Amino acid sequence: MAADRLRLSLDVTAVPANPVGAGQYTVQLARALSQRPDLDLVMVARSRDRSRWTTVAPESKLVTAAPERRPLRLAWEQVRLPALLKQQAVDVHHGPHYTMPEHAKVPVVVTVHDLSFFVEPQWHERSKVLLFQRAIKVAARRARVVVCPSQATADELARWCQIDADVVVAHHGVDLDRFGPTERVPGSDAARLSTVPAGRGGSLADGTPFLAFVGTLEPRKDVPTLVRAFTQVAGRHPDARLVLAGGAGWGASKVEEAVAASGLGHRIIRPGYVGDEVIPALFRSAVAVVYPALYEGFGLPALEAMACGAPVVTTSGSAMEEVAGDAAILVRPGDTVALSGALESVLAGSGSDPDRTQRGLDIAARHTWAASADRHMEAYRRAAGK
Amino acid sequence: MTPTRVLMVVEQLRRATPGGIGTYARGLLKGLGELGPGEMPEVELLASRPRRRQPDQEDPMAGLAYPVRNSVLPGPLLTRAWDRGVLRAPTGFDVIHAVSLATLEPGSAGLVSTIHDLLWRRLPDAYPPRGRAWHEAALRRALRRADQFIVTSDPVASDLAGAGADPDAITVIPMGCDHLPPPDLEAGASLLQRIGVHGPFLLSVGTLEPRKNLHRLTDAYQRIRGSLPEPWPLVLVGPGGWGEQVRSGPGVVLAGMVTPGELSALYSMTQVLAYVPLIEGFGLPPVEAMVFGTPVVASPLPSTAGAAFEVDPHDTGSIADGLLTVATDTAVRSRLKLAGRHRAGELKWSTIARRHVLVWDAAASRNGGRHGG
Repeated sequence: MAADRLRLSLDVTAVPANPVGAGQYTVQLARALSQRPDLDLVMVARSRDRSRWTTVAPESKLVTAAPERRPLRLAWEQVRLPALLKQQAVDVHHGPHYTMPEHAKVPVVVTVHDLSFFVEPQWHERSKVLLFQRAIKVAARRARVVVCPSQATADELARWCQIDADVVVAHHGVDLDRFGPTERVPGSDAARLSTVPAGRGGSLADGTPFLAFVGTLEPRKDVPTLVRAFTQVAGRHPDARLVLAGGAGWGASKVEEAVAASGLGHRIIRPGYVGDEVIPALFRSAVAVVYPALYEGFGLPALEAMACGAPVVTTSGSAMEEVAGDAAILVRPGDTVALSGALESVLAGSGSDPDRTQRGLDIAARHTWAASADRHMEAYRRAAGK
Repeated sequence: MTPTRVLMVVEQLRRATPGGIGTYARGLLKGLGELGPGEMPEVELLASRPRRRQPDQEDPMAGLAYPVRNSVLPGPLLTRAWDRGVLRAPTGFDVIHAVSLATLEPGSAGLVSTIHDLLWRRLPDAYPPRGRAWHEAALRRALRRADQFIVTSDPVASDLAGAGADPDAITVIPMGCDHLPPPDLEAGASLLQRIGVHGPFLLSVGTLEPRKNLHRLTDAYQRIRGSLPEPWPLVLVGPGGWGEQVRSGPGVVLAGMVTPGELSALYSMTQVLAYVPLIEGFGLPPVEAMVFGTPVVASPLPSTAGAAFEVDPHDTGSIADGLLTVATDTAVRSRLKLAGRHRAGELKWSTIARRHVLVWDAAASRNGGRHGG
């Protein structure tokens, strides 16, 4: 069996302190890979992050060599990383966030999460657009394998870039230890929700119904449309509240404007970034979880919400539809009227559907990080030619 | 069950300028290639004798992943032989699928004919007289010969039923739009440089012929040119057609024919795609542009399904307003980008190919019944 073992280096340098989205992917993938018997994992990290990665994957080798700041780190990836990979004698290197060492002597696998840098460049800081557009084009031509988190992303990659690499679609997983339909300890959800202030001295644990959105407040999430849709139905459901949980990305002022225009500031609760342990409690307690994103490479919160048994309202034609299918209530992206119709149906109680909930739980059960690691292993083996 | 054996008549793919029907044939073949092994019928292609070419010219049908049956006859003679029924379809197939009005006697096979439009009837002045006569005769032959019809939109289905086709034998299947290669940005940039376009521009794509209404488009452009943030040029892409040509004017730049990679690049680089034909069976360029999230100003068309900013093609003022709004209003632009990408996602050639297979199955079984098996 030893001959079948693969030695893989995983670049974890781009993961921020409070990881969401692509950062969460790298953390969960590293954890799942570190538990595989057929893989020797070498994590390449920033020095500052040593203790964090030791917690994630205590058994795996950790090399802390990368500089802190992004421009320096990207230069380091090109100039210094190839020699490090040689020294570590890895079979394959994986860049989990678009970039790769272009002159590495070992086969490289790159994850391309989405094509928003091409499709909607105005959603990103200008300095990032050219950098990542170029990185994606390079990956498509020079990586041995490109991993995409959805077929939707793989299709868009083919639309925008000349591809010489093999493309492997590996759906993300959901951490079923955290995201499940029942709380582990009775009363713990209420305890967690009581830490979320809900205005006028109250908290989310006071039993009034709420709709939940979890995600960074950034243009692609289209939270303003959610606020407008909520405004249209709020009069018929005077108790209902809308929780927008997530850090403010750039462009969050559009959310502020929409909330101000709604006149419902007291019923729209914005706790900011909420901790890992609060999110499952939110999903389990919400009347429905609404994820109105215009564009996602995968859209993990929708899957996490399904794993908690929550009714999910999300957008059609998206990666979320690819994963959730008929286990979610689908509305056209950006369509306030359709979204308010969906909110009305869940708030009025007609949106609850045990069969749909079960389909969601079944889909979540298949989407473990171990299953995602299996697909990644296929990508690594293909890249290594073994 | 053995997969249906299908012979696709794809004479358009032999031509130097395959046009919209060529795009349809190629897209359909691409979509078929993406189907699973169990879903995939056996497909062969039929076309005329390959032309003699210069050594550096590639046969446009080379590289298709399907067996090709080349006739001994060159294109024009072959079509005439089909028209008159002198030459029948080769035997050994369950279904013959003519991708255009040029049908042939199917022998014992079922015949499927795709009718892209009957616009020569609706807008006779937009067609040269000889073309009208051929289209009319070809339609009569298709009505006589075909077991099943495929049309790309509801209006064409009504026109075809009005012309005498059995409504139950008509299936509406839209065109796909995911057939262009990735943008060749380098080639696109050097093309723009060659025609003197620097910075942002507006784009229109299509054969330069009267039906495309280009004189109203250019008039509308002249009206709003001064109101744009800068006098952005209007780039017109497409082969020369017939009849009155484009009125050139300040800022109007003819790019002629471009390669598919250049076309993708232009779609992805332009501020706006304007496409305002008087009438169209489907209207492919708008949805090709939507693949790249480009905002579109268009006449009411079957292809766009509300995802374009609609203007009245008979009203220069309406076109002008549409152009200016979509070029400059960021809220409108982002709404159109979103709606466009959503629409483009609905029009995948693999989905469209799957729907063709159902029609082929119907034609094979229906024909088997009618001819007594």
